[in-house]
Amino acid sequence: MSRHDTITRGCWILVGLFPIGVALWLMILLVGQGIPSLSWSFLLDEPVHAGRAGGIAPMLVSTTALLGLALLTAAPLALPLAVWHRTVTDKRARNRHDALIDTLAAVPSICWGLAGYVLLVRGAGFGFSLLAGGLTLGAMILPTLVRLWSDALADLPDGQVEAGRALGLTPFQQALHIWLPASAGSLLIGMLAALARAAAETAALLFTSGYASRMPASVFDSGRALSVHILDLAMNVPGGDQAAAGSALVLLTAVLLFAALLRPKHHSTRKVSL
Amino acid sequence: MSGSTAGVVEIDSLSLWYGEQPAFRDLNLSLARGSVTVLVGPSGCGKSSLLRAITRLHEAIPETRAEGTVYLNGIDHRQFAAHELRRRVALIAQQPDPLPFSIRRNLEVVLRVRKEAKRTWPERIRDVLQRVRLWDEVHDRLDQPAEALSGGQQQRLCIARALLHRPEVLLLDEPTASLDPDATEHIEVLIRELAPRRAILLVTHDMAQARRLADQLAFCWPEKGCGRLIECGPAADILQTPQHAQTRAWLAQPDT
Amino acid sequence: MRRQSPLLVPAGLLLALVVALFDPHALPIAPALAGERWLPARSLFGIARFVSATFAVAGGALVLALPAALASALATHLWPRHGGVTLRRLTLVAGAIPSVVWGFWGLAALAPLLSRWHPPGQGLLAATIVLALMIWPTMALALDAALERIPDSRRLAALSLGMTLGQRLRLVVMPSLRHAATGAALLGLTRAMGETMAVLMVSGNVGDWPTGPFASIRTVTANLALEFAYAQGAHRDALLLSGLMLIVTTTLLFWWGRRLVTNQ
Repeated sequence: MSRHDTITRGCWILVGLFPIGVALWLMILLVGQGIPSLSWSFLLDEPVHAGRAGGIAPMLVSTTALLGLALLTAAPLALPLAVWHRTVTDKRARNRHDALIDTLAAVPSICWGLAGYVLLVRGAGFGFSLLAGGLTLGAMILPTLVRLWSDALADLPDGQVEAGRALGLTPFQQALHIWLPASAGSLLIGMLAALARAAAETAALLFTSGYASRMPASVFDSGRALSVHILDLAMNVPGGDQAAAGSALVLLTAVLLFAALLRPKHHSTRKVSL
Repeated sequence: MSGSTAGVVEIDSLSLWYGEQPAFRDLNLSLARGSVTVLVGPSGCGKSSLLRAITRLHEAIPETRAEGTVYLNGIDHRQFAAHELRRRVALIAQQPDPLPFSIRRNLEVVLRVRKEAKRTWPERIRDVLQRVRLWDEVHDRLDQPAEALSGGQQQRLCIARALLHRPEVLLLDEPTASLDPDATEHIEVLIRELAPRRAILLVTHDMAQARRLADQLAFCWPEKGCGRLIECGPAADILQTPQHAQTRAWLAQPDT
Repeated sequence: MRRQSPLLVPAGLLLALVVALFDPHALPIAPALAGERWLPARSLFGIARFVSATFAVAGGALVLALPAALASALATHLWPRHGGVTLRRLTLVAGAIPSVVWGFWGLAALAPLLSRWHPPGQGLLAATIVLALMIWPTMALALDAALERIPDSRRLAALSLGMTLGQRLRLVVMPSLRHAATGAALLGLTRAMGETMAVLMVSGNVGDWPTGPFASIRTVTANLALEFAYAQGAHRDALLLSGLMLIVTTTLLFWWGRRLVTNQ
């Protein structure tokens, strides 16, 4: 490589590191600001003074409940779709499916929130509740989950698919006995990544699970997700910044831990360089 | 150490590895101006790899390593900037590889790379297309995609593209492998025309083509997946009295 | 028909969305949305300012994010010895940062920085920067995949024509990326237009026309987030209609972008 090329290469790499650098700046800043808030009591106590003091225990419980409900909603629908996606031979049907799934994934999350409010909070009479929020969130992450799980199953060697077929198993028997055990790891990672997306969500929850910051007693109670708590502290509670930074750090840590498990799609390593 | 300057290109015990797998080993070959060297051998004997190694293209392929030296006019080819070397030693790939642009733009890209004055471009393009005898076929559709041309036309366009650099050496990697007999003849005539002022190295596994074009003939043979040069010399001598058993076997084959 | 039955699930969801947001009784309000003023108490439901703010902030974010995404994708590929894999993973992780966290960062770090120039620092510019930071990873990954698809034969052709790296990028790589870049831009635009929280937190929300970098703007999504909770009657219908318009617009842009990204 000539010196000329080395300079060009170096320049592009430097410029290309800039955006990721800003993201790292955000993380470092948040760690610096949030760490003083962190303690066991912050995680285990109820909020006091609209969240200026006390902890975030109810939000952690609500968030966990929301994620659980979302998973219970989305997983039973996503798994058959992913299995179908792996087995279907009709290319047009698969493309149509991909297009639909991608379209769903592109719907702005606040629109999911509106639909959840109209159909679940009002229509089904759930009121502002974890149930309404969880179902909405489940619908929202369904396309993500289908995509991630289809990718996980796509990594299965064709030989295994053929072998299952040769044994005369139906696609779902195959899925149950052969693929799911074989790709359990990547399915789990896909699930966690989808949950990371759900945990990051705020807009869809504003009008479905609501704002109530007390400890929810059942899924029919309103519950405030951690992300909604951050929004409220930052926007509506003067002097809430410290607690907001702590909450944001907790959320970011959880989300990034889940998301970091996800491996980028495989790229070949023996390509001619650009 | 300076390598004999008898040839434009002196290949001095060159070896190339892809990872742990050697592609060819200890290869010595000299290319002289005004002469066509034809390198013959079965597939898998490292012929294409040799052409890439001469122009240091292997440096762009991960996990590839070369040993030995190639001298261009007596200068180690690693002393050139890679792009400079590749302008002086042009490589024509086996599959025609026009860029996904119009015919005109495929040529203009090179003129832009060479920073030639824009007003000279139309003339340069016409000259070079006439040189490869493509002008009459394409002069009225220069703005159509190059990929719409036939295989033989694409290959001539690729040769034209390389000629814009006025290279001293032309390396051709089975340029007619994917072409029909008419197109093949076109290319062969062109090679003979280009020969007097350049050093040309042509790789082929078509013995008939080798007989038609070669001034110097070199035979390559794979041993355990690693190519070796087993015989090399003036075409007339080798065709008359091949020394090596494998060469004799290869020559005894009926032409394809 | 049975082969297609799995399509019913996503299709049903999409239908549910539209049914939820589309109320035929609300249709008479639709023309009012074209107005300039949004004063629900006086039955004025014009969202022209919100729409223009949405396009301004999303367009601005795109202008910032596209070069960033391109540079990042190129760095991923130019990094010697597959070091780019790490960068690719970091990009993936950066794309997972919750929007409310970006919003908080915008409030706590970016707005104070900008307020030295023009207090309070919130407004169009702050929202644009935050959005750009949110959308570049998606675009970078799309461009990254497009770079990966440039065939070896084309790479070798460019190399053997004696091009320097700069020339290869300018004359061969960039033209190869044209469709993918347009597509990635549209995907980013879709994402930016639909984004709510981060924009809500840093844009000021007064509802000015987006005329200057510190205009206190309100996007369509922010308007929904701020008012839907207490909206009744015609006010609610107007909000739902604006939500439906948002879905239709983003979906159309998304399809266009998706076609450009997937078809070479």
